[in-house]
Amino acid sequence: MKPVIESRSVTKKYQIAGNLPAGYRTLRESLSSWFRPAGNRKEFTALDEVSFDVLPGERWGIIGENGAGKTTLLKIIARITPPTKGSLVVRGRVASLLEVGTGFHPELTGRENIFLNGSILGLSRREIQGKFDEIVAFSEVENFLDTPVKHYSTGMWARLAFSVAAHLEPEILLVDEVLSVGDADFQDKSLRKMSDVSEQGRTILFVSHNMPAVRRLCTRCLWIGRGKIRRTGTPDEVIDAYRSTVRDDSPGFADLASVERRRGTQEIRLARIELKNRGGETTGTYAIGDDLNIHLFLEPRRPLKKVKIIVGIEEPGGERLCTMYENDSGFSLKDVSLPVHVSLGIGDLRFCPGRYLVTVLLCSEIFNYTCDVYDDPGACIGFTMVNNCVTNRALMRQGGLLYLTPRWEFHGERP
Amino acid sequence: MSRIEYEITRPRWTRFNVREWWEYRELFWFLAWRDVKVKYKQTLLGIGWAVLQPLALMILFSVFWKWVIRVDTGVPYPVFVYSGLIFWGLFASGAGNAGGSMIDHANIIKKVYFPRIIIPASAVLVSLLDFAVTLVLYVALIVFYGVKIHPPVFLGCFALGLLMTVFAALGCGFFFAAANIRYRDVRYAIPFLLQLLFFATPVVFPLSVVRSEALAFVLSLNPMAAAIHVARAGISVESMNWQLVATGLAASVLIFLGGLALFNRNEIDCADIL
Repeated sequence: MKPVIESRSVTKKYQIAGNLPAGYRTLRESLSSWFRPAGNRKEFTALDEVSFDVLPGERWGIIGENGAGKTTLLKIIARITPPTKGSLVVRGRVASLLEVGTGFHPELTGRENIFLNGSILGLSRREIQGKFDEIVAFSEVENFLDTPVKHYSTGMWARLAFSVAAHLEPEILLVDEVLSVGDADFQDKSLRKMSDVSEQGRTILFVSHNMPAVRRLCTRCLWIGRGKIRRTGTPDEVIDAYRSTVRDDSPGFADLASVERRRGTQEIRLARIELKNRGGETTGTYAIGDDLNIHLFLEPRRPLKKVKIIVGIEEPGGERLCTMYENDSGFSLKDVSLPVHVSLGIGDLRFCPGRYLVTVLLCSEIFNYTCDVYDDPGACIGFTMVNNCVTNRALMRQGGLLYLTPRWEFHGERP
Repeated sequence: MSRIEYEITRPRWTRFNVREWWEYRELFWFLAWRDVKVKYKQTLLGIGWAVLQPLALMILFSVFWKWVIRVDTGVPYPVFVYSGLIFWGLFASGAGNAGGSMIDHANIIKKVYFPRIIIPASAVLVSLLDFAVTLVLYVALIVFYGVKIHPPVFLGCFALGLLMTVFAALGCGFFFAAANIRYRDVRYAIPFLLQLLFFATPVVFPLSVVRSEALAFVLSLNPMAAAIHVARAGISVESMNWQLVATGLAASVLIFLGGLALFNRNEIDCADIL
């Protein structure tokens, strides 16, 4: 069988001038750069000699850290940006779920947008006409077909956009989970669409940080690190190899005061976070059974009546292990006007060996399921659980993320 | 299994994939259709705006002409100036819209592949549709002022002038669009440049007022001077200046090809730059 995608030494380089990507500059900057030595220009290699073959019907998961080049690879396959060197042969129509709603115009009606969007995504007029009823039925917006989409709710807009994309019937489907942020409903729909598509024997390339989803959906896995292929193989072996290299180099504290780009009003911010063990030492390494004390240093910009603190623990695949609200433990933080120091202690850690991330969210009182987010620095620090020989068997993460030692009892023989 | 098969490499800018442009003609129509629809949505006058602009300018210039300067134009001045204004309008709005089109469509460009040339080209098509609407008034003016025309000559001159205008608008549009991808300065320079060019084009005055030979030569390099001259030859008694037409035609074709080449060269990386 001929591969549907043959990638041969695909390389992509970007020129970086200061903080801006090359090209995006004014004429004046360009003129002045002619008088600067050429060595001043920095180059960034997003993809470095990437070669692989994808066979028809395979479902590839593409994993790697942020900025590793996963999205660049999809963009090259979708022909949005050309490789700097190397070549790719693609056999079949490519569509991607990152194009949902591309070209939608708020002033046009739903009907008009279906035609326009379909045409941008590469469908001919006749194909759109053929599938029109199906698209409309799937989107559930029949009654508003002749209403400009600016009057649509966000949900209606998304449903209409998704149903056009879902009816493309490409031979090769590209899905970038990283780009379809936020909307859980949409992510769910993308995943469902992917399994539908794969049942029809089409090929899928799926960029994701969601390791369980990659394990569940994919037949092959490609791990990209710093623009290079680190490993290809079955999802299980590649994901395990990827996880084993995500090493802990966290010293157990992080200064966040200088981190500028974060969500929230910043009326109060997390300036520093420290992880301490039972002995009060700041460290990023913990063994099963240890205590973990999370110390938060908060700096308000204005006096606040009440600050809610929500701390979560995640594994690097994005799966949440727990979420802890301050009021669950009967704690509350009121009338904050000066910098404060708060800590929470978790006794007897039971997480399996591996790396974990701590997320923090500061917000106002939750009312009607909504609140004002003050500060959301996200996963701001990591820690590593190590095996301190609590058991002589190897603790694999496939066996679950918790290591529990329950009380076992023998209740006698029952004839 | 689909028969679609293609190789993705860094394209060479000298490669003009005309067959692919043809395959994407539907999208070309769709984009123009969308722009026309959107442009006149929720407007009272709708497409009437296309006529209103040259009409207002025609009245303004006619009044000005009557009271201030008087040069024989051969035909009633309103018809004369209107014919120049609509051709100039087609060129200026076509080139101007095409120039900004790549930035306006950045979100599509960054998400979907299609031959990028479609975008500035469809911007010119939108102006062409506006132009078609203004012709209604043109014909009405000719009838109203009783301008004697010889239909085959009129249509022939009109078609040649239109062709030159479209070539010039596409060429300048490609050029502006390509420059705009890289340098945002261009966006501010375009209206200014077009304004300058307006005064260097015999739109509101006949060519005959230009007495200096040197100036006449410079004017002949401006394809719009020739295009408007040709289009007017169909209505006025002014004789056809074949030398001007030849240089103008050559200039418009050269601008078209040059703009196309420059655009092709710059669109390769546009998704990374925009």
